[in-house]
Amino acid sequence: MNSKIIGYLLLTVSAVAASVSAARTPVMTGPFAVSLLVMIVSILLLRRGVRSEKTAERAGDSRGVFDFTACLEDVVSSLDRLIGSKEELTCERIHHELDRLIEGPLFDFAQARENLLATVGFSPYARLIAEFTRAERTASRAWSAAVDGYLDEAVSSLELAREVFAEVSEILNSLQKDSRE
Amino acid sequence: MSQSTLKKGPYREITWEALVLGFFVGILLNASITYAGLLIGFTIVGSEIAAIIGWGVLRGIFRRSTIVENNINQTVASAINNSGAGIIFTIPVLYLRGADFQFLHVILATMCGATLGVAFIVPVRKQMIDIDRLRFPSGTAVGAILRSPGAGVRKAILLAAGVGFSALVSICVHTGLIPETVDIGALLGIPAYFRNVWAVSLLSLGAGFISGRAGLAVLIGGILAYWIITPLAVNFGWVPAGLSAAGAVDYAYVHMNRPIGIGMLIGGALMGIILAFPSIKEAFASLRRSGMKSAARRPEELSIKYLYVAAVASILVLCAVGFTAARPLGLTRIILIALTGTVWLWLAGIIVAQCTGMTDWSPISGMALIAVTIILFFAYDIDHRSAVLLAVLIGATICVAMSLGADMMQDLKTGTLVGAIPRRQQGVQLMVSWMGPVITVVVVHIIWQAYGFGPGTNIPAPQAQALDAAISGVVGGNVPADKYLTGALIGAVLSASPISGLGVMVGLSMYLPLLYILPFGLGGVLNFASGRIRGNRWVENNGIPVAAGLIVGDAIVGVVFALITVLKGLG
Repeated sequence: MNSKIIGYLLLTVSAVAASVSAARTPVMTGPFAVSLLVMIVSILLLRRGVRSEKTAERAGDSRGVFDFTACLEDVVSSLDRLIGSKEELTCERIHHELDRLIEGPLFDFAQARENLLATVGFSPYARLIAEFTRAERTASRAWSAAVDGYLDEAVSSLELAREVFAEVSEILNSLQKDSRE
Repeated sequence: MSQSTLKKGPYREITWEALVLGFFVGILLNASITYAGLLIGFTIVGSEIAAIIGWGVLRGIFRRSTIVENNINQTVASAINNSGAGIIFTIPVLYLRGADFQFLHVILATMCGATLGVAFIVPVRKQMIDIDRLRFPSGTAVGAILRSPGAGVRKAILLAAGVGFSALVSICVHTGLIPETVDIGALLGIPAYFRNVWAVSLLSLGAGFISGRAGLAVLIGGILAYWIITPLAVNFGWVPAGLSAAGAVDYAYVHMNRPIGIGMLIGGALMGIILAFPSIKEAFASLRRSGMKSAARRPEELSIKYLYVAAVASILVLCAVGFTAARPLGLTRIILIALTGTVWLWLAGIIVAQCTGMTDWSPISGMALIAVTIILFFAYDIDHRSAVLLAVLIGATICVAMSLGADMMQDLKTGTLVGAIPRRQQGVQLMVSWMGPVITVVVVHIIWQAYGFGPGTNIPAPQAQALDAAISGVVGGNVPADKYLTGALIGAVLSASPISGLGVMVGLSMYLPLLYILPFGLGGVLNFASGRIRGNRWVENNGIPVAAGLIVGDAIVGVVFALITVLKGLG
């Protein structure tokens, strides 16, 4: 059994024991203190288990591992193509293309985002995800404007979304470069 | 897809039509829900109704509404409507106790609470919505309604099916065709202290489904409280002898599960704040960056200065309330109470926003209880009437702030889904949020004058009675401090686990009624199982629209029946 499973089992048992000890009046101080200590140990085991799992994932077979860089490049190039054909742009086309991006690569990126946390650390992750969500929201504004038939707003939001996605991509590249060094 | 014809001019977002409609819908919902809340003990969120009325009026009558304009309409309506929960739990206590208070002071204190709640939550948006990406089930459901014109036929059908089914079940429950609860424990012959009662609540099921993993954690907390602690307490003789099975469960809830759960909530949230420090730091940094953006980039958020102004205003308001209610306390202690109240307002606001974001439930009553306990602790040596008046007034200010803060986060989540600009939503909410408390306080006063409420009347005001009983306990020196403390320690350790917010979710579910936790947990299990079997994309494209529909259908029927209750009351 790995330390993650042991950690979860220990945490469950000790949390129940701590809660039951706390429920009696007066509190059963001794059993409560011991249970709390076991809870802390189980958290340490769990965190170690999660860390070693992520390390093994990174070191092992890279097939099936989500490629964040490629995903963002796909989004940016799709938006480039869309914006590039400005004269032929219609609300229907923007709506259709954004549906594809929101339900496709943007959904996948958001689903896999926790893997980034293990790779880049909390502070850079927070900055990256905050910018990603900002870009996603701007794309949603373009979507809403396209559905409502406001082409000018849809195009300007699309351009802004493209700019922010490109920034997210740059941040990600520099973070990955730093983590390799 | 309902593709509109091409429209020229600026994209309609903040318009007079949206503001005025939101204002009137908000007043209607506020009055109805306040009355129903005093009657049945809980409040209903009306954002879904506002969004649907918005489509009908703005698009149907004015024929030029946009998705983000309707979002502003529902933001205004819910800002005016949602202060009710904070007020009906606290202010009626003053009436029940025959307190000598100035009506104007109550209105001013709660109005300030509403504005402070909105301002205090400004930096939290970035952390909870952008970085942590919490689900905010009601906000997601309203987002589904707003996006429905462009979401495609399939999603629209799924949403409508969810709304229809949920509304039908809810009508049957309200009219007595289907029972409100199902006692599975009794059907299986399980002892009554091993409670297994399910509310027929598709709203809870839908919210649990949208919450996903949080639904599972909530279920764990419910099992711990009601299927482990309570039966053990009964069998070990930790509850007084001679109580019925139902009485024993209630005793275990009041004296064990609720205080431990509240402690867990607070401890878990404090640990969450410590662990989330990098994302909070990033949220503040982002707010500062947002203030420095060039003209080419639209500033996203209200400036961080609003938070600083709100903190100073909060201290001044609470000082003023202190002087009004309990002058004998002296300047130093009143300032100390104001400082503590401000810190608690901010902390409790974060706890409530986090709970709402993860589960849709807001533990306002528990946070109010702690606020009242803290204030009574500072005012231990003055006469009880003044101490209670002070505690309830400050408690009401904090409760209204928490209600509005949580509501604003739901609205901002909706805004994120439809691409609204947060700054505009925050500005509108700041502009109108003070109106809600005025309406609620006036409605409470009118009901008191016309019918009275509390024990022996037709309007029991159960939440206020519960707070009144808790105040009597605190005044009598019966504060379960050991339970709060041990609960806080357990919550803090649980929240340090790799499952984000575990302490908060388990604590929340220990303190909420099991009958809603079970359908909510079932929703979480269904999400998990369907994700495993059909994949997360299927859950997002098929499950979420249906779950959003379940929330919307139940909420619509709830508000309609609240209106019917008001009309019956007037008749």
